[in-house]
Amino acid sequence: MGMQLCEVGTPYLHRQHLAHELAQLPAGTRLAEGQDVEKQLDRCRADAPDLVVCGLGLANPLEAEGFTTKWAIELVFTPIQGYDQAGDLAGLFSRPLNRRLKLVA
Amino acid sequence: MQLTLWTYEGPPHIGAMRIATALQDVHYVLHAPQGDTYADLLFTMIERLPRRPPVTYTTFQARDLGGDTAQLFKDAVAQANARFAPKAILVGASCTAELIQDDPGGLAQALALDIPVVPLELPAYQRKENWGAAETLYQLVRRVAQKSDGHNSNTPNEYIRPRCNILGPTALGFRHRDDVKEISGLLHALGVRCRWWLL
Repeated sequence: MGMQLCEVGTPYLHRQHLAHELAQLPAGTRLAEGQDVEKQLDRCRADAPDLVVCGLGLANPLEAEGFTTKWAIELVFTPIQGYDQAGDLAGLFSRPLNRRLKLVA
Repeated sequence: MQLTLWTYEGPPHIGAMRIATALQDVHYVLHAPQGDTYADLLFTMIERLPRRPPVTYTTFQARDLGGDTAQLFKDAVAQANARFAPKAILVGASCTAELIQDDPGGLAQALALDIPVVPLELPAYQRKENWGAAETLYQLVRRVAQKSDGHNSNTPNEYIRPRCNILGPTALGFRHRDDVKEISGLLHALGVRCRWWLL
């Protein structure tokens, strides 16, 4: 789809459990484990991504800084498995971007 | 949807966060494991503040317990002081970190910072959020209040316009912002000057 991944952060990374997922990440993707949130926010501001998938605690502060955000928890609770739900998965990422475009317009 | 009442109290460190968030230039370094950072979203999602509360968590995880969590705490205090340059630092442990007994107060004192460091002893298994807020404000005021020299600089017959402080309103206080506005309006109408309040 042409998305460029800046960073993948997780509280805890079990490399054996996630071996297959890790192999799917583009080569050179920055991985961050643990939660030094201030440093992570510094990196986020430096990268200035178009979309930040983040926890509920960071979404409003990032929106206030002008970032477009998506709650990570929605990716957990939304059924996105299988081909028939692939559209819903894409919608999770496109909705906040569309909303931002409408707000600007 | 707007909540009118908050229906239950959290542990006392939430009360301390409410005080820290209501003040300016105060930072709270909280010895807390990963996961206790969820408290942030009480402020950013429920109160919808456009910034994180002024709280640094040590966010230790299971594997850190085999190492030096005390050093982790000292590093967090030093980094928070360097990054945020607060005028006072509150230090304490969350309910879960209290169990490892690292003595955040003593560790922070050992750093010999040039700003007031207020250790908070908030017994999470005996007390709750509102008590934690009251205790935090009390300890902070006790630490930073200056003693009066006992002299009134005004001449005896000079009319002194009454002044007052409004204490009590905090972050995550729901109607507190409205209350402050109403109470200061009433006091102003009576000719009383409000000097400062929290929030």
